[in-house]
Amino acid sequence: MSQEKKQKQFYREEDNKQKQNNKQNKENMIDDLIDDLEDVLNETEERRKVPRKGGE
Amino acid sequence: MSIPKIIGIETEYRFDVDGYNYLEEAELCKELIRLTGLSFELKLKNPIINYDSHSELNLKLKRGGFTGYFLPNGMRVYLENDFIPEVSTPECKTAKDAVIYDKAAEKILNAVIESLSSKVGKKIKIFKNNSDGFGNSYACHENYSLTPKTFLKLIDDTKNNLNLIQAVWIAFVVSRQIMVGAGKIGVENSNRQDNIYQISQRADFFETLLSIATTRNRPLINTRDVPYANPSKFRRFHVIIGDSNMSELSDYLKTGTAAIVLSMLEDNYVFYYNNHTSPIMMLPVLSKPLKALKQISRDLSYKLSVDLNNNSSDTAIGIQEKFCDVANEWYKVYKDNYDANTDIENVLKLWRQTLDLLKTDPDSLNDRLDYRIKLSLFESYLKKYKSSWDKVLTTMVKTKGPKGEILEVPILERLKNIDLSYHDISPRGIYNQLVSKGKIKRILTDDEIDSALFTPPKDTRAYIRGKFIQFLLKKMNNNKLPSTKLVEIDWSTINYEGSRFKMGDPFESNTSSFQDFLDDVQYS
Repeated sequence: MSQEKKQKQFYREEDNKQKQNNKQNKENMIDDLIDDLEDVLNETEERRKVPRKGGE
Repeated sequence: MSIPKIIGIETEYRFDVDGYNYLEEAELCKELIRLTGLSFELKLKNPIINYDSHSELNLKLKRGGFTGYFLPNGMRVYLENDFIPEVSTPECKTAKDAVIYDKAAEKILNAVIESLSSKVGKKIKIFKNNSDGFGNSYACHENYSLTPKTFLKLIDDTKNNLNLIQAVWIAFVVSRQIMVGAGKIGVENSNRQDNIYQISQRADFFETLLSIATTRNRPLINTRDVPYANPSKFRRFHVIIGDSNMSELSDYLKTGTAAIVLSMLEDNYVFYYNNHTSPIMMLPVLSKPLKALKQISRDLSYKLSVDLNNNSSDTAIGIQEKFCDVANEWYKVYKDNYDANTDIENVLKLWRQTLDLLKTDPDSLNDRLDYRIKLSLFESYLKKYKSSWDKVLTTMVKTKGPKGEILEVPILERLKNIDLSYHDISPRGIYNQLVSKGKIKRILTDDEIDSALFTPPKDTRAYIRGKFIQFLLKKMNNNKLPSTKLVEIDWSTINYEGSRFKMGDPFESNTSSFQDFLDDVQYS
C-alpha cells in the first residue's frame, strides 16, 4: 500500500474512532465524567474570588 | 539557512493555600520551591538523597540561582514575584519532548504539594492557568533557538513599521489561538460584560506590538535578548503570547507549529517568484493585529474575518490554513536538513487534521483542545440545569457555602469554578479526571512522562546539566561533598570550586570535554 493510501486509511480510522468517542462524550453528562463534581467545584469557590498577583 | 530548534516552555502556576493570607502564602511558596529542589527525589520513587540529613548542605548549592533549583532532569524550578511557582523545561529538540517535560513538571509539583499539605495541615492547590479573572495574568512563555540574523530581524524595534517577518510571525501567533487557546469565561481589562466564553486566557492582556516588557504593556513580540548560549551562533526568541495548556495536543501544536514557522522565516520561505517577476507574498499579514487578537479569541463560530493589509480579510482558520499550506511546501524543500528524529512531519499532519476538523466538525475536537474540552463541560453543566449561555446570570443553582450553609448563586459562578478546577494539576482536577477516565485524546504515555521525572533529554546540553546534578546528589548521598564546596549551575555554565564548564552550544549533549571535567572534579 502506498504511503498516501496508508495515511488516508489512518485518518479514516482515526475519524471513525473520534466519531464514536464524540458520540459517547455527548451522551455523558458532566456528573458522569467528574467524580464528586459539586464538591470539586466548592473547593475552588472561595479561593477563586481572591485576586492573585500577576507574574512574568 | 534555518537551524534546528531548541524548544523550551516556562510555566507560571497559580498557588493557592486555603485560609492563608498573601504573606503566609508567599512563605509557603518559598518552601514549595525549596522542597521541590531538595526532596522530590525522595518523595517520588527512586530516592537519591536523604532529605533530613542533607537539606542544609544542599541549600548551599546554588543550583539555578538564589530563587530556585535545577533538577536532575535538567529543568529549573524557581520563585517568581514572591509567590508564583515557575518551572522551565530543559532544552528539548522536539515539540514532543517539550510537552513531555511540561507534563512532568506538573507531576513533580503535585507530588511536592501533597507532601507539603500534610506537613502544614492546609489544603494547597496549584492551577496551571493564566488569569485570576480580575485583570492579573501569570504566564506561559515559549523559547526557540534562532540564528542571530533572524532573531535580530524579529526583535528590531528601531523602525516605525513592522518588517515582513515580524508581520508574518504576528499573523501566525494571533491566529493560532483557535488550536492552542486554553479558554476563559469573562473579559478582563475591558468594560465589557464578563459572561462570555472566549478561546484564549491571555488575549485580553496584550497592548502593543513590540516591547521588552512582560508585566505591563505586554507585546506580541518580546524583544528580550538573553541568549543563554554563545550569542554569535544562537539566540533565544522569547514568546510571551500563549496560554498554558493542560491538553497535550494543544501544547504539542503550540510548540510544534511555532518551531516550524520560525524555521520557515529563517529560510525566508515567505515569497515565491513567478517567472522572475516581482516576489509574491505567500503568507497573510494583519492590518490591526491587536484588535484581531481579541476578535479571534471571542469568536467561537470561527466565521469572523479579520482585516488583512492587502484590503482583504480572512478567518483565523483561513489564515492558519495558509501557514499550514506553506509549511508543507517548505518542508518538501528543506526536509533533508532535518534528522530522522524530528517530529515535523507529525506536527504538520496534526496541524492539517485539526484545521480540517475546526472547519467541518469542531465538536469532534472536544476531546483534545483545551478550550473545546472546557466548552463541552460548560454546555453539559448548563444542560443539567436546563439553562443556556444567555441565561447564565438568571439561572440560580443551589450550592454549599463555606460553613456548609445552602446558598443560591447564578449558574455563571459555578461555570467559573469549572473553569478554574479544570486547571487543578492534582488528580482531583477536572482535566486530570477526564484523562483518567480515558475521555481525552493524548499524544503521550504515562511511562514517557514518568521517565522524564528523573532523566534529562539525551540530545541537548540539558543532558550534561542533569548528569552533573545527579553526580552531585550521589556524592552528597555518600557524604563526599563537603559543605564548603562552591557549586553554581546556570543554563550555560557549571562552576565547581572555580573549575568552569561552559555549555555555549545548546545542542551539545555529551562531549568528551564534559567527561574530562567530570573526571577532574570526581576526586577534588
